[in-house]
Amino acid sequence: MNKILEELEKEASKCINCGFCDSVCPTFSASGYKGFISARGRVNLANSLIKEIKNSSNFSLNISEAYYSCLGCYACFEVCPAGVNAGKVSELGRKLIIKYRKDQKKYLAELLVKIILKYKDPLGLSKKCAEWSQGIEIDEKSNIIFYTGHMYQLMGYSKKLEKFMLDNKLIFNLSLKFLNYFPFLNKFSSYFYDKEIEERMNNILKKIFNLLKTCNINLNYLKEKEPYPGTLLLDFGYEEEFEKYSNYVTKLFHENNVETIVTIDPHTLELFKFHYPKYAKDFNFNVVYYLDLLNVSNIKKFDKRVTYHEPCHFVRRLNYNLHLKILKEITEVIMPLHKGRNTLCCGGPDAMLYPEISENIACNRFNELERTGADYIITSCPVCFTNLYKSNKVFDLAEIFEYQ
Amino acid sequence: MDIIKQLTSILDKNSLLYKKEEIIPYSRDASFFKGSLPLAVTIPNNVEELSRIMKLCYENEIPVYIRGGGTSLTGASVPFENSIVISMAKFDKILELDTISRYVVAEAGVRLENLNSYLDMFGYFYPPDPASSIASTVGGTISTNAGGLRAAMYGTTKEWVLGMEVVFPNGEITRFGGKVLKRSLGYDLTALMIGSEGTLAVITKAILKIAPKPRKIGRILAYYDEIEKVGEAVAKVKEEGITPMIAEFMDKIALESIKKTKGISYPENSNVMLILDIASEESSLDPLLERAYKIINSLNPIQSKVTTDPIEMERIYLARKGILSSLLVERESMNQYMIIGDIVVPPSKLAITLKEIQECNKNFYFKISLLGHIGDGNIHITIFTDPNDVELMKKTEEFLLETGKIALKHEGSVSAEHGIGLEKKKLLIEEFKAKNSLVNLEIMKQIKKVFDPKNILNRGKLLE
Repeated sequence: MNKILEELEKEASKCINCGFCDSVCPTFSASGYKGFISARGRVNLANSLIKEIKNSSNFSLNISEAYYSCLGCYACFEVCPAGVNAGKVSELGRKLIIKYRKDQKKYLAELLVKIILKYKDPLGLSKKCAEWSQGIEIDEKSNIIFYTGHMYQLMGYSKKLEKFMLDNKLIFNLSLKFLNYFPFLNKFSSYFYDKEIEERMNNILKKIFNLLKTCNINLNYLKEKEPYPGTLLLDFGYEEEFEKYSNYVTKLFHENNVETIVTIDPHTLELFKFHYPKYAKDFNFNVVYYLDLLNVSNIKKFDKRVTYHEPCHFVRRLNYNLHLKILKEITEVIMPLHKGRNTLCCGGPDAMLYPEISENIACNRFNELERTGADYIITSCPVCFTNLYKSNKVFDLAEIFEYQ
Repeated sequence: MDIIKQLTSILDKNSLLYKKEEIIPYSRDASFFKGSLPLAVTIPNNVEELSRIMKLCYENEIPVYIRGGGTSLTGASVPFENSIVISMAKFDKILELDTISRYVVAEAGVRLENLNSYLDMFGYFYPPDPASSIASTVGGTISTNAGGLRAAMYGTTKEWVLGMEVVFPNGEITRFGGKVLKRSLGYDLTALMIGSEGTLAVITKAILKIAPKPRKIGRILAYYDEIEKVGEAVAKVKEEGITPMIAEFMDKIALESIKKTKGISYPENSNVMLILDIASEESSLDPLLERAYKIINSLNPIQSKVTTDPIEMERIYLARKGILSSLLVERESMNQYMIIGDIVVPPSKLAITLKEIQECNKNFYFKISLLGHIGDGNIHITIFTDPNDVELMKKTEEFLLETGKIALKHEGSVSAEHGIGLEKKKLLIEEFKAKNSLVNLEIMKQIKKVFDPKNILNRGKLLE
């Protein structure tokens, strides 16, 4: 336990308990202001946990709800005068659960982990995830790979699954326990297929691919061989499993002579930039984001007023804001109250485990975006898009891009 | 468990917490005091539920601790054993705005920064602005009579509260004051609640005065070698009939911390910085600024400048407001904690008070930083100490007591804007003693008995 505990103590002991983080933590208000489902509460709990472990080399506190409900949006870190990142505290808390208190694990998380490890996709849908590429021209010899990470494709399922979970809590929880013994029964996921979202997502993928092609970039795509990057393994605290999995993915890239990976969403970009190099051997690829490869000066003006929802992962974790710069070049942008490094999370990361909290946060953010009076609400992350998709005004950035 | 069973008949399961891991976060506030775990934490959805909880606790004589933003620096919101915590978090709505009559009605749990973001849309603001305004709430800041940077011109919270709704310990709901500026109805019960630190009744919503945002603000920055010059400069500006909106000072340690954390540099040979804001109509600001700047320069600052650039002004304002955060880098170890004193003296006595504090510290050898609101004579002595070191804490308490005595010698007060809580109970008595007014303490105790005969609200704080 020592290494995780050391890291946890290093982070949590800095806290001066000012409570600034609670004022920006989206899960605090969305949970009905439960102190333990908020940033300060998570840090307080960590400090109690450390004390307990030091005294008895184990812990009795049930930390599952506090740490699994954290969105990892890092809004807390932005306002903390003492430099405490309650998001990081939660990540370490989840690692503790998986390593030492599996009785506190989440059944859904466990199931998804099993499916990812077995099928290289959280819903066992690798084949389906490649369907968008029918008819597109791929250069199989190119060492530049177009990597979707299945993120856009999976969104076609998450919405309905979330609704089912909200409406059928008891049945869902019972089936989860059962399914954990039989992960191959994952075919249930096809029940949650949302045709409208899936088509929309597939079109976005095609659009991004073609925008890159127009810039004369020859792209390879691994189709059904493309594995999910393993984001959820790390998010859920399954560190050992992630280590194995990331090495598998890395090996696959090497086998396919990959040199450059073109990512299209912030979660995968962050994972490849910051986590793969730590866990996977020989992860020595050039990782880029698709926007950096586009000929942005050539993008057509857009004649609608837009507001832009900045994804937390881009602005706070990756410190990346080219999207907004481009938008400001091509149209009038009215920013919402919470913007820049103070952007509000869409609630997406809680959609699977805490659908009610997630929905409260999404509604709150959507209303704020709508209050700007803009014609379009733009975002650049499939998770944000799906969670905020509450009207026809919501668009992915790539959807409004056209070359002159 | 019996009380929890009874609470379940009042509250839904999401509004009642009692498992250890759920209630740990409620045992602390922003002070160094460590409270105990309460029996349960309640998060009532409305005033009716709150009233029923109070009634239940009153009947069973269970102590109740009210929690707003949990930002108290004096331990005013930490609970003790066998108690119930009532979180006011769900009282988070702004209910009414009347810009003609210039008031806003806000529930107790509304955070000050959210209130001001809302008022900003209409060109108004609520002036009290404690450094914790991002997290502190309407109810909490009324309970401590919070001040802040703008108090030099606008005064503290007590100047801005017109009325409120409260729940008595026995559950009865009543209203004090109202929506008008004038009212002559005998004892001012609204005023009695301000600074009462949750010991008399529970504030659920408040009618607050608002002010139009100043048309234009200009800022003068000046660096001096001696702290006395800052006091003199501000006094001279005031003598000239100019009332600064903000008049702040900070010492070298504070300046160094801002340099490290915010990248704002200062002249090496200066020991103190003055920030002076003047607010006025567009047309009259420049002549006012010019006059003030002349006075400031007459005291030979090492460096001085005037700015009206909103970006630069915001940068400096946020640096000052976040100074306690910046000072964290000056800690010598992670165990060190900053305890923040809160004395106030008549502004004319500020220079001598600062000198005496430094003299006094020669007997204690603490690392301290001096800063505060020079416009109203409020000095925050930041002491770097260790709450886990019993001997050192005894010494810290002694030092705080001595600095309190210095303030009293100059006819000031031991607590300007943070309140008494657990931290300054001794100092409160010291103040009444110094003023030969110990009877005040007795009156306060009698008032407490009238409101809370069973002593269930914030037991152990303020007067005990």
